[in-house]
Parts: sequence; structure tokens; C-alpha cells
Amino acid sequence: MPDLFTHAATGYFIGRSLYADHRIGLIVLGSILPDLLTRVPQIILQRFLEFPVSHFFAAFHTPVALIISCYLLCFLFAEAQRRTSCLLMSFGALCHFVLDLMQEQFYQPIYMPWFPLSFQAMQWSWFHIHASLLITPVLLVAVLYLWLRDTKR
Amino acid sequence: MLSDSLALLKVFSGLIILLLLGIYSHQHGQAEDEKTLKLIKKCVMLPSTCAGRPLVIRVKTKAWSPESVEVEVKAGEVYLTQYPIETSNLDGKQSAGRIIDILGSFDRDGQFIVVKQREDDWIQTTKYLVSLVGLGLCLWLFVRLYTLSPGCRLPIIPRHRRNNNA
Repeated sequence: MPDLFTHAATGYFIGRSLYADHRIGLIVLGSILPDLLTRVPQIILQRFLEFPVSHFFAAFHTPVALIISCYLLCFLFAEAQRRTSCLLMSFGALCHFVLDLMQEQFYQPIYMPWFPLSFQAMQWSWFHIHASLLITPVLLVAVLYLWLRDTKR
Repeated sequence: MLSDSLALLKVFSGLIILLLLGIYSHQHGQAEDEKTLKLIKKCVMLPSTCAGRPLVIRVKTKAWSPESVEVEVKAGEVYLTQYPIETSNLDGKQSAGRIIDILGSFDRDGQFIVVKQREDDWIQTTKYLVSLVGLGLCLWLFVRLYTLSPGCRLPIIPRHRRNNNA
């Protein structure tokens, strides 16, 4: 996966190009959601505590599970906001998934777009697994510049 | 579908579906892991049966020589210490005890030819740190844009709306 900052920055740029209000936050939240649901529990439970939960949480990094998760999360929002919240968080989460598909894994692909219908994994291998780190400084400067400019306005 | 009526039931049903998806994925993954484990054991014990077949294995370096590196292969939770294998094309510091994921295949002589290697190094640590920065920025952005409504159930609302109401 590209690092979480790259995902968040991508979500911010996409959100900012579509909206100029609080809805940007929903797309950004959606854009980090897949890793919050999958990688964080995997790192804590599997890597540090050695519970064999890697495959269990891998299911949550799939489009179907992400849409269900966004549906559940939208109940945290006021009723009038739910539809927008669900749609924009799902959009952000799918942007995250597409960005993950673009990278080249160590060997075989790991992301399963058709789950639970199929376990067939996919990758487009457009960039190296660590390539996102190279553009992190540029993204950080760009995000801070745009955020400060928008705040001043 | 998104209204407050039967909200608890909707959330509960969604959680059950997620749980079932997780269990389904876990079952399938465990079965695949078992197959991979059997294959790795077979290939390490009888390398000639796996000649030319691409494999990803986790190894611990043991002894370095100019032509090859002797490594122990991890199968499941343990290293197959009784069946060390010879590898070639392994890069990096020539020290024992390095844990490396390697992609490659056995040749006819039983030597493992490494095509690609990966190690938990500073890059991975940097990636985690950058991810933490990303997470922090996201939470900060979200808190700037959204807040909790004053109602007893505390649903989240856009911050400007609450300010307008106030």
C-alpha cells in the first residue's frame, strides 16, 4: 500500500477539486478508511500480538466490505447528513482501493476487487511499492499550502 | 435505509455481514496458507522437484561465501534448521541472522536463485511514520470540519452548521 499520508493527500486533492466545504472531510476520511480497518488491526494483532487475523481483516480491504463499513459509519452522522456521508466516504474508500491497485506488489497481487464472489486478486503494477515515499515531501507542501490558502479565504 | 428507524437493527445486520465476510476470508486464507506451507517444505527438502517454480520464502541468513549464502527457510512459525539451502544473488550486508523475504526459484542443482528481496528496513519504518503523520492530519482536518451535535445521541454534524444554530 502507499503510505496513509499519500492516501489522505489524494483524498484531499480529489475532495477539494469537487467541493469547497466540509464534504472534503468525508472523502479524506473515506480515503484512509481501508487501512484503518485492515492494516491497523493487522499490525497490532498479527504483527505485535501474533494472532492469526491477517486474512480475516483482509476482507475489509475490498470494495464490498468498504461500502458496508461506510454504510455503518454514516449512522454516526446526523440523519440529514447520512446519504452524503455514506456516498462520499465510499467514494474516498474506492479511490484508496484504486490507488492500491496501481502499485506493484512484491510478487503476486493481494487486492481482491471481486470478493466475496471471487478471491482473484489484481494489480496494475504502475509504480513501485515504496514509490509513494518519494513524493511525500511534495504532497505535504502542496496540502499545507492549499489548506492554509483555503483557511485564509 | 438511512433513516433512524430500526437503526440498531441495520447496524447490527451490517456488522454481522462484515463478520461473515471476515470469517469467509479467514477460512480461505488458512487453506491457502496450508497449501503454501506444504509446498515450501517439499521444495526445501527436495529442491529438485521444484526446479524453475517461482517461490516466495522468508529466510534467515546463516553463512556467507563468495559464491552463495546458506540460509534457513521459515515454514509456518519455525525455521527448517535441519534443511538449510544455498542461495545466490542475495544482496546486502554479509551478516548472519538477517531475516529476508526472497522471490526466486530453485535451479537443477538445488540452489535458490534470488530474483527479488525485501527486508524490514528503514524504508518500512519511514513508511509507518509517514502514515502516522497522515492519520494525524486526517483527524485534525476532520475535527476542524465536523463536530458533535448537542443532542443526547451525539451524531456528527458539520461544524459551520452548529455555529449557525448557535
